[in-house]
Amino acid sequence: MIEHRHRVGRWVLRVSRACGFLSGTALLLMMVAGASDVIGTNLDIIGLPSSPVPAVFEFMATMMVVTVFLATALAQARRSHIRVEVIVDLLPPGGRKFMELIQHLLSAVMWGLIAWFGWKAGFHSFAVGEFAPGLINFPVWPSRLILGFGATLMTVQCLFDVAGVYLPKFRVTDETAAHDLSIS
Amino acid sequence: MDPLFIGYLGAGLLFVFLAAGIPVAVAMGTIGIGGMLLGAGPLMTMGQLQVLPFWVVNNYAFAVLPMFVLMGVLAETSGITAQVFRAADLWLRQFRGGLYQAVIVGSAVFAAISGSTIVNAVVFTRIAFPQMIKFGYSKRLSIGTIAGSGSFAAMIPPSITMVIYAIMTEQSVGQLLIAGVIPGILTAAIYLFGIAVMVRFKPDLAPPIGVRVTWPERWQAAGQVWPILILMLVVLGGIYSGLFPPSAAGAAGAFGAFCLAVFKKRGFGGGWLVPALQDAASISCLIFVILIGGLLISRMLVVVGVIDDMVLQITAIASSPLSFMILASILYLVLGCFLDTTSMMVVTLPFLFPVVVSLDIDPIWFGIVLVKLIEISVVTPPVGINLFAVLGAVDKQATYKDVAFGVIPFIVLDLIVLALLILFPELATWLPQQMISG
Repeated sequence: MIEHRHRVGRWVLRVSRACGFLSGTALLLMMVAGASDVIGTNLDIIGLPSSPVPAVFEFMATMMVVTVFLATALAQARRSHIRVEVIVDLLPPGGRKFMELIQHLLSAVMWGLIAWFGWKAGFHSFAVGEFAPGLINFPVWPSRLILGFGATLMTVQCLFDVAGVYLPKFRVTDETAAHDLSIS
Repeated sequence: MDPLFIGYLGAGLLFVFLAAGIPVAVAMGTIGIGGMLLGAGPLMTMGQLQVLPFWVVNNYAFAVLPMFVLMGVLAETSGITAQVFRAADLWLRQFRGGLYQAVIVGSAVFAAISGSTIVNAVVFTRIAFPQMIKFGYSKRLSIGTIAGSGSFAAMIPPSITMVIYAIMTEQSVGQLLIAGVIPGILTAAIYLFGIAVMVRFKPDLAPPIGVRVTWPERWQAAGQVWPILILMLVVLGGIYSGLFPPSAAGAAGAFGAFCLAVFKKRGFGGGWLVPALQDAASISCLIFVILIGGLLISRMLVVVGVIDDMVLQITAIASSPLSFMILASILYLVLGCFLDTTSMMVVTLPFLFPVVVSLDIDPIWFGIVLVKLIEISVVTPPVGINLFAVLGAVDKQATYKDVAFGVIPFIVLDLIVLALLILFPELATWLPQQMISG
């Protein structure tokens, strides 16, 4: 169920979902690139000349930035980020709401700072044309800008969460996660 | 303000924040940023904020983590786990308690392609538990076996836990993964022995199964699990032989699991791919976000000088490697009752790992002992995460009490393995040493 009482919040969720899709796609591309490189590098085993995929390390690293930073806002909308709930659950409803406000506020501050400095580093990288040297000079600035964008989206999501604690029309949650997420 | 005081204040505040339900990554990250700002000034803080999140994520060496996550998710999606359990069941049914043994062997084999203890436990609960109940097996011991065996995924490579340790401590991912092989097999062997002893002295735990199994049936079932052997060979063989780095091995393993899923699902019908990719991406995101927070607090503790002071304090209490290992074991067993495994590791390593270095303890050995402790923590009541995972998957056929009592024999067996790993470090260090000399 999607709570879409606020127009901007609805858009935030749409963008987060699109980014979630891109994040999964990036993971698939990482897999394909990495596996192609393994095959190409080891072709000499069957007597063919080995041919590694150029700039595969840089490509996979960039895709990792897409995977991680474009998935984080959706994870927040799904309340998937890991926290210890045992003690908070013992609080009365008013206390729990207040703690929720503090949680979202601190999240917004941290992600806001990561976004700010992410953009700063991204624009600087773009301005100087930063690249990773190799067979192909792979540009670094796209992944820096993706980091800034993903962290900004997460900050906006957290700000909506802050407002949504006491004003339900600002609540932006995505409860459509069909699968249990488990990292242990 | 005295930087040392700031550091200790931050460390104390961290536990207050965690108790307040603040997301683990945010709790560590904000304290790290705040502590750096007060203790080392704005320039240092701004520099870390620009560099660290990008460095952690835009790093090919760490690509092994999302690749292992993807491999596990795709292997589970392919449905091969049921075939692994069936093969183990048909081969072990002739022994008393054969279904318990099948769960242990099946979980160990599945752990070789999946790095998540929860996935392992949930999948085997769904596949094995109904059959165990049908044949009159003890409900408590059945569910305990499943929850306990689920924890193998933390030790047997490809282990996500092991990769997180490697990232936090800047150790070789390949060596750590290979180091988990012997302790993983040892744990499974001790579980098998423990079950054999239990059913020998208490036969009603496992009534004999009257259904006879023919040899052709056994071979046919075994013939269906060969893709797992190939995946194991590619990933472990590649890393051990040095043919390719762990991230490449992870990508090749994930690709193999992807092909397996396509083959088993007969194409892309049923829309399995997108949810699998999104699950794997979400899990990877959650881990990396915690790593960013953990590294921010870790840097803060280093720059304000807490680490040097803490090393002095801890080494005053535990001056030998053995006494430190025992102290650390007690700490993790207590923390494991309240914190999830990733958070526990990321929260504590910035404090404890410098002590490991100063006492000249082999980081690979410490890593393996730590992972063993994590295996125990995921099945330790009251909040062992695997207990809730199996409880959620049994569909009200067992209570929390059943699960909590059922895992007790396996916690005892795990403590025996832990003691062996502490007393005989070679169990962890021998195989990676062969890898280096090779």
